[in-house]
Amino acid sequence: MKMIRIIGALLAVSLLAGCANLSRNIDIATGVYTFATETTVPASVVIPVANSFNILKAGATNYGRYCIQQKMKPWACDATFRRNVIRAVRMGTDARNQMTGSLERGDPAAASVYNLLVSAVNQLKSSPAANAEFAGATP
Amino acid sequence: MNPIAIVTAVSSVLGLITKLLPLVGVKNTEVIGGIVKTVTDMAPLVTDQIGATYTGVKNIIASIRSHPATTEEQLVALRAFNKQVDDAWDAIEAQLDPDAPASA
Repeated sequence: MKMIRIIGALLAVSLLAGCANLSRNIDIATGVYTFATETTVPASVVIPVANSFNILKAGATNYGRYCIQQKMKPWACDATFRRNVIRAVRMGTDARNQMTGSLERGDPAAASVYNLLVSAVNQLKSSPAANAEFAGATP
Repeated sequence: MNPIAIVTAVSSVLGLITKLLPLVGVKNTEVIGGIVKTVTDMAPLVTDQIGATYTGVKNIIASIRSHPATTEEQLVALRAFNKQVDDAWDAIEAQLDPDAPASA
């Protein structure tokens, strides 16, 4: 009886561990990213972040079109917001291009560049460009 | 179908899957396989109209499958997606930038 309880407890622990791992994978897929502390990051981590950045950059483009169409009058089109969006897009594009280049050459992607990409994603997520009306689905 | 309705439907399904996945037992590969198939079957619905959502779907598929290495298909898709969003942004950036000479 005691052995059955121990086996049951072990099974429960392994199931919980498996769920935690799966949950983390889904977090990566849906855009919750953390800064890397290792020197390099694998392609399986880089690609979802690069895709999320692209989704946000597409949102920034829609935001830009809206502001241009509205002649920059809405509060969301204030010069400060636009500067922040442009800065994040430029930084993220540079980082994404460097990371994509590394992947295509088969080199490991540097964590320092990956972290710049995560910063750009986080900055865009907190900007008006990430609003559902511009970005569509949540990246 | 209205693109907004597609985005809403796909986003709802993805959100639901995200909530349900942690409840699936680690050894229940049949259920995971079923989810992957559902999401994969849904992907072509959105390829034409909503590239961003499609990419999100692909991210989820890739994460569920836990690919140990990048596939050539993923790199090709990423390259195409990069070019698509870069071209669109380049077309409007100068007009949006408050510090660009043309805006002054």
